[in-house]
Amino acid sequence: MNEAHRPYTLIAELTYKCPLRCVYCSNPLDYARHDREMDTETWRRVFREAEALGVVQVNLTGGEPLVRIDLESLIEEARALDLYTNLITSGIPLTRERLARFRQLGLDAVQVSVQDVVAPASDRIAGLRSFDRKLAVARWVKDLGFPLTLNVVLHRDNLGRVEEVVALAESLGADRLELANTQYLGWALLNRPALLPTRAQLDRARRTAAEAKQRLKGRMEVLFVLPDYYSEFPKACMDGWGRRFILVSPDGLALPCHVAHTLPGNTFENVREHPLEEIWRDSSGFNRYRGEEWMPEPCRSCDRRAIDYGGCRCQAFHLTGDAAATDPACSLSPHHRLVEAAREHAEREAGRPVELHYRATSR
Amino acid sequence: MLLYPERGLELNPTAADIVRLCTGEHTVTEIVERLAEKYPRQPRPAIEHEMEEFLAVLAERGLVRYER
Repeated sequence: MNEAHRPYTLIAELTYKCPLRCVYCSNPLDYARHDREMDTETWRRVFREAEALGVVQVNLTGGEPLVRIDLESLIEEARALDLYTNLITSGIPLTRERLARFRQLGLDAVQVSVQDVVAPASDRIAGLRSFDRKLAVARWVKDLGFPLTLNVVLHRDNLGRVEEVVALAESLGADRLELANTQYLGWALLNRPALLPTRAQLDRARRTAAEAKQRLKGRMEVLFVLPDYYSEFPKACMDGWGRRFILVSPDGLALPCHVAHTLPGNTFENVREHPLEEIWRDSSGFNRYRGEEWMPEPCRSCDRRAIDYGGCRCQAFHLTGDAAATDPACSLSPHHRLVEAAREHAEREAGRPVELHYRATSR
Repeated sequence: MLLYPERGLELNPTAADIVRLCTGEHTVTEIVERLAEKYPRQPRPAIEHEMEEFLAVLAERGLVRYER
């Protein structure tokens, strides 16, 4: 580890609890096993240790962070440490009064997610009647003077409505619109047949997003996160393993990403037992895929290895069974056929209804 | 470092000087003048050019608003 590995952002997954049951939830499939949540004091200590390590931003997320009744106290600590503090939320359950309190305590920014532009479609993906309440929350966010990021996860059933999504974001006065194509891990991988779009759908949506980005320059930042199933090369997942992000799970595991603990054969330490600095520096899990030593061919001799760091370790494992393989999303991967087959399946089955598997504790 | 929702921009010293002066109290020309005073060895057109480009980057992300 060296200066190339300096964390800027702490992703604080305060809880895996959530009233929504989104079919592409980024929490691990076995989230219900990790139910020993950390208490307020431990989280506050983790914030202090993160700040000492160089972290400048904290994302309060989950699950649904609003279900933590001590969120106020955590915001207060983050503020005292001068961390830029983002609340990443579904907006449920929240009152305007509580949000105003967060503002007073120094919360900097709020990201609200909606699943679509109309209630039935949005609620279908969320598995809960929630759309109208989410819009109300987004309006409070702006009323109270926060910067608002609207997040919409894109998939085959809403990709055709990017124009309407942009219009919704404009009508809410959003400062940023995150059009995030589904990442096929965890619940989304389970639901991939229902979610993966066709190339034609994606290309149309990308053009629409590019036009909106141009038109709204300076008023609203439009981010279109390309799905790596349709790009030639993989993403630099998390800006590289253990480089810029530390994620702490509800039960205290310090991780390089949301689902790193689903990779077998790695040890990840718990912040209840070890200082964060020690974990960041010495953890075998964090060090496992840093640098280039671990890389197989074709990554090892590839010009892009310092750009994408070999792609996503979790995607490599969940598709090929080998976490140290080249990300199969890469067109140069010997396993790229797996991704092509998924795309072909999406073409063949386009428009055919598929049963959704909602996030649930029993899986 | 300039922090904004879920992102941050690492700033070089000149960029940091510019951001510090973007308080709403100074015109673009005034900021250029301040920078010219602080960096007397830099040719003024170079400062103007850097200022122009950097403000455009910031404005595009909605991080500053300014008039020419």
